[in-house]
Amino acid sequence: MLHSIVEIMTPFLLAALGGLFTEKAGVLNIALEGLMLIGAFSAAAVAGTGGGLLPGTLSAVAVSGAVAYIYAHAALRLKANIFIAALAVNLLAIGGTQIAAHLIFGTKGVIEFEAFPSQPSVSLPLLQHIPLLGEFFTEHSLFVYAGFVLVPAFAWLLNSTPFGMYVKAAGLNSTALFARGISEQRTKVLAITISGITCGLAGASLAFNLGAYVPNITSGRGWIALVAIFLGYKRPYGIFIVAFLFAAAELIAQHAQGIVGAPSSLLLAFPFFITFIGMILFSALHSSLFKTTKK
Amino acid sequence: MGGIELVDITKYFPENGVTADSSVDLIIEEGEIHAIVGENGSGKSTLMHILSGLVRPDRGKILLDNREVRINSPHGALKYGIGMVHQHVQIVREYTVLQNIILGREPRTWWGHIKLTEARQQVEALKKRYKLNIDLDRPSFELSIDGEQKTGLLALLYAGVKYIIIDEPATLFEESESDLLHTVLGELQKNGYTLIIITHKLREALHYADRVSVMRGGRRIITRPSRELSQEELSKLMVGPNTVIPASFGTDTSADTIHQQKTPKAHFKQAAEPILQVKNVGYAPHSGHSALPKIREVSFEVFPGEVLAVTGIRENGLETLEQLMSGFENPGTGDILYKGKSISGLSIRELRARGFAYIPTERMLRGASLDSSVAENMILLNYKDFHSWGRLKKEEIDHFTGNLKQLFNIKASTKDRLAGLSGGNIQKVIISREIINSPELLIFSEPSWGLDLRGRKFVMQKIDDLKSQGSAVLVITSDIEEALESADRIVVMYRGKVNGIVSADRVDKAEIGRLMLGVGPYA
Amino acid sequence: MHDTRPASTFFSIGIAITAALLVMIIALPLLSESPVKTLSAFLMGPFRNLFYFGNFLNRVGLYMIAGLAMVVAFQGGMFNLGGEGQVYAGALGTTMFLLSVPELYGPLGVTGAVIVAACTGGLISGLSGFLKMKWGTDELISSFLLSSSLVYTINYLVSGPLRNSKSYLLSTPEISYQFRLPQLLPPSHLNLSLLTALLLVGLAYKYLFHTSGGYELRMTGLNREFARYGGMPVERYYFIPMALSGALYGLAGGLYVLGTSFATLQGSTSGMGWNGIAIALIGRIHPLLLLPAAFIFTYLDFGAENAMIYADFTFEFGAVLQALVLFFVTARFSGFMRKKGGKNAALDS
Repeated sequence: MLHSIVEIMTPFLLAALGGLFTEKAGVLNIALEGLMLIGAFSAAAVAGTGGGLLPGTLSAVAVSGAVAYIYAHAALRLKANIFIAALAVNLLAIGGTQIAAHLIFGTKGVIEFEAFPSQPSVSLPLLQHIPLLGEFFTEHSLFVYAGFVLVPAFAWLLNSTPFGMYVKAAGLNSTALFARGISEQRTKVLAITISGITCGLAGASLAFNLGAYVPNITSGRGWIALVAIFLGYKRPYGIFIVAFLFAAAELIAQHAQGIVGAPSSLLLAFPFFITFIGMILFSALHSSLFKTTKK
Repeated sequence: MGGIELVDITKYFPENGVTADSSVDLIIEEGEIHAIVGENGSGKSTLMHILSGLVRPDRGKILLDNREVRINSPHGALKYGIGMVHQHVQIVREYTVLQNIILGREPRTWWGHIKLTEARQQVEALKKRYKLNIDLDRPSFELSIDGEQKTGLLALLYAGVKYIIIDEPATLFEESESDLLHTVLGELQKNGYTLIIITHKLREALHYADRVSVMRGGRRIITRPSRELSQEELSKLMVGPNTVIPASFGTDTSADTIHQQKTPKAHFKQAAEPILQVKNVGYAPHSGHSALPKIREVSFEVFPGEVLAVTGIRENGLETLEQLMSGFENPGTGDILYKGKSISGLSIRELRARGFAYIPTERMLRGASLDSSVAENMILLNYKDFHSWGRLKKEEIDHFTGNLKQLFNIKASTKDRLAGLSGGNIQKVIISREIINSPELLIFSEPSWGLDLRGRKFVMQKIDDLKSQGSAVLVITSDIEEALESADRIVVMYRGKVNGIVSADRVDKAEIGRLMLGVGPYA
Repeated sequence: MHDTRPASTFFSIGIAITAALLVMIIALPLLSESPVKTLSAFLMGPFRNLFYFGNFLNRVGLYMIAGLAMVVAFQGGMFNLGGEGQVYAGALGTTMFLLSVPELYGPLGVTGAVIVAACTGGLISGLSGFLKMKWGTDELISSFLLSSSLVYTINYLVSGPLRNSKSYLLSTPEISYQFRLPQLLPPSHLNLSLLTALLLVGLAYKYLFHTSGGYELRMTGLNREFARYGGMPVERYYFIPMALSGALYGLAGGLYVLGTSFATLQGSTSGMGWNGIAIALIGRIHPLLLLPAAFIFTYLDFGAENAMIYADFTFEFGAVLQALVLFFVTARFSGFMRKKGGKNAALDS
């Protein structure tokens, strides 16, 4: 069971980690969903037509990262509303992938590739034998391990590098950056680009897990990732825990389908609903802890 | 042959209609400690903002080592070795002191890791050498003003500058530490730094500066070695000659001065009950809140039918009092009573409903909805009168706004967006709206800020009118002349405490200057 | 926020439309075997005959209401991202209501249905507003999450427990003929909802600009500090804009059922929520400008859908169009929403 949870949580985790950067920089990035979709499509398109695991993943990362960079740069330069620009990215992703699917593969539905490369299932040598936690390291896709690595990596990036300090400063008090000659705009663009890169990874993981491309393959994961950022108290390790819990919830829901016979469409609602509840609880707790004295 | 020379620096702020600096020349010699003194609004802060790159001058040039330089941003100034420690330093409150000090200049390994230990060592060394005692690991929101300034200073030293400008080195209450400040400055000077201090504290200025420049009304009045000056002289130079003839000497309503006919004190009946009571109010900044200057044991009363002015250097308590009086912050100790009821217990809506009006200094932020029309801004306080069951009473609104425009000489069409108006006109919209409703108590902060001569005169007249109608007006102003002109009684603040409550027709500018600068027996 | 400089309004809309048209014109030949037919279907779509025209106008009306929903929210400084769910819920609520009441008197049932639709949407969206007021929960995220949950849940209901067993479609049973709005231009779907839309726009305009409540709502949306300074009851203006917005969305869903679909089909209202946002933005968040905005947007949407018959590309192209329009309109449209800091303030750690 632990095994499945880990597999399920990976796309959330990857997307949320990237989104964390933009959030820290003070930008509410609602384009995670679209970026993930673009990544999934790119990975599927490249891998399914002859490329392997690596080219597929790289193309996902490159395309999503590029789209993120462009939208961030354009929006901040043109002083467009960054939220709406992100919404536009989401819409473009949906439409664009459909059009590309149609143009390249001649279909708008499920794309099954004849020679879709399977991905290796890796177990880490020593770690897989640890009593309880061994499941975390047994027979997982490389994306899972990528996620594991990125958690401490991003924590380090955020807390122990100048770039991390600038990203956080951009969100907390950008005037402080101005006083020291650090470009707030550039910092934000970089942060958004990072989110594009991790979303590309997340999308690729979805495509490779499925072995095909399906429209709406992301089905809301980008949004859940966003909420995971908040519920995880905007910290990498917090996000890890929330993503884990969330994946567990989804697994339970899937099992419930088997037991209770709840249909799949209702299951799709479950994650959104549970995060909605989680959000309410979080803000209720938060507000009672931090009572303001404002009139 | 180093040093800075400022030539013909001029800066005009169209948003307020204020000429902050008017063709100012100033020479700073390399290695000296130079103090620039002046009242609020004298232009000293703007001048230094220009030097440190925060503001661009309309005219003039800056010479460094006899070469002209262009300073376009704080970062640009830093490249030339010029840095400024502001009163409210731009730091990230959530970071530790050390993190803020090294922000932007973190030492790093080739793979990007911040070498915190190395940075800490370097900063500790700086701390030791310049006797700047501060806990590097404290979160910055815990800092009070002098902590913030130490952080800002260390950040500049860490970045490596030659010229350091300090805006009001703040040791407001720590008497013991003011000697410490002298030591710090001395050390810095010994190590080759050139220091420019902006201050209103005359004793300190004379004590530690080599030379002192006095600014007034956007002009540099004089520059002398400190040993040639006395506090008394400085005070007079800062405040300037008397231009206001007290009411008891007769009146003069000529247009080229801002004299006005003030309803003589004898004619207003001092009501039995004060409408506003400030009782032993104190305030100290606490964590998480912006560091407002401390005030202590402030008590005074305002009666209906009188104008009471609270004056002094803004940082000596005016800012804080404004926040407390308006109800936006609660005092730490003591209480403020409006019509006998504590204002901490009343919402803004309730206060307004009881005849309480307030015009803030930061008029644009709170007092205006810049994207709305002029008319929409004007009707803020009585909008309910103009809407009835889905019908907009257009005629009444036009009548009302037309009235306001005429009375206050506001040049605008009421359909215009407020943001499109000139600064002065925006001010008038905000001010007129509060005055027109004949409030029982009006708290008016820095009344003539942003207005031209005629505007000032008009506002003064309006304040007087309110008084004759029986309202009470509390004017918070850093402009002594304004206080003398408008008020019946004046509360003078010095270092967060009340240094005197005097009757306006019994003092002159020089006397108030002394009281608010701490000259003489009160120092 | 109300840009009283007409030049820039039309300019930016013009750019957006031109860009969208250019994309269409360039992309069509690539995607279609008969580009000329496709292009003419796109451009002339609504005007071919009365059937198309009637359907076109019908859609304009519904989209106008959706746009109005967002206009009201934005004017109050709130971001309602839950339109999809609110419309769908309004549609389902209406359907279930009408299927449950006795078929006594048509107009009474219709009135009841309309109220049910508005209340459904209003309560859902109002919940987000309430949470924002009470605990500072970000309404953008909460409305979206709730809406998404609802969409999937209703999908399930409509294809499961509430499904019409006599039909192949994933849909509820149809409402009785008594409750259906009369067709104004048969065989097209055009019905009274267009007039209702126009009426609502007029009412909204009156409310926002001619009543003291509307004044409060607008001032609070523009500058909350200003409103508080003036003594306005700002607290309630977290809830009110959201509730009104949701009510309008729900109403759109209900009218859709009453006049066009006569049942709740799975996915039938999909897209109305997002289109509402786009139309509101094109209309510069002003109620009266919704008329041209809805027309223009629906024209593009309709044209894309029509062209699709000949080009065999999916309606997702409409999504691309929307994206472009959104982006270009917003490029000149900085600063209409409250600052980002405000948006995240609730959940900041």
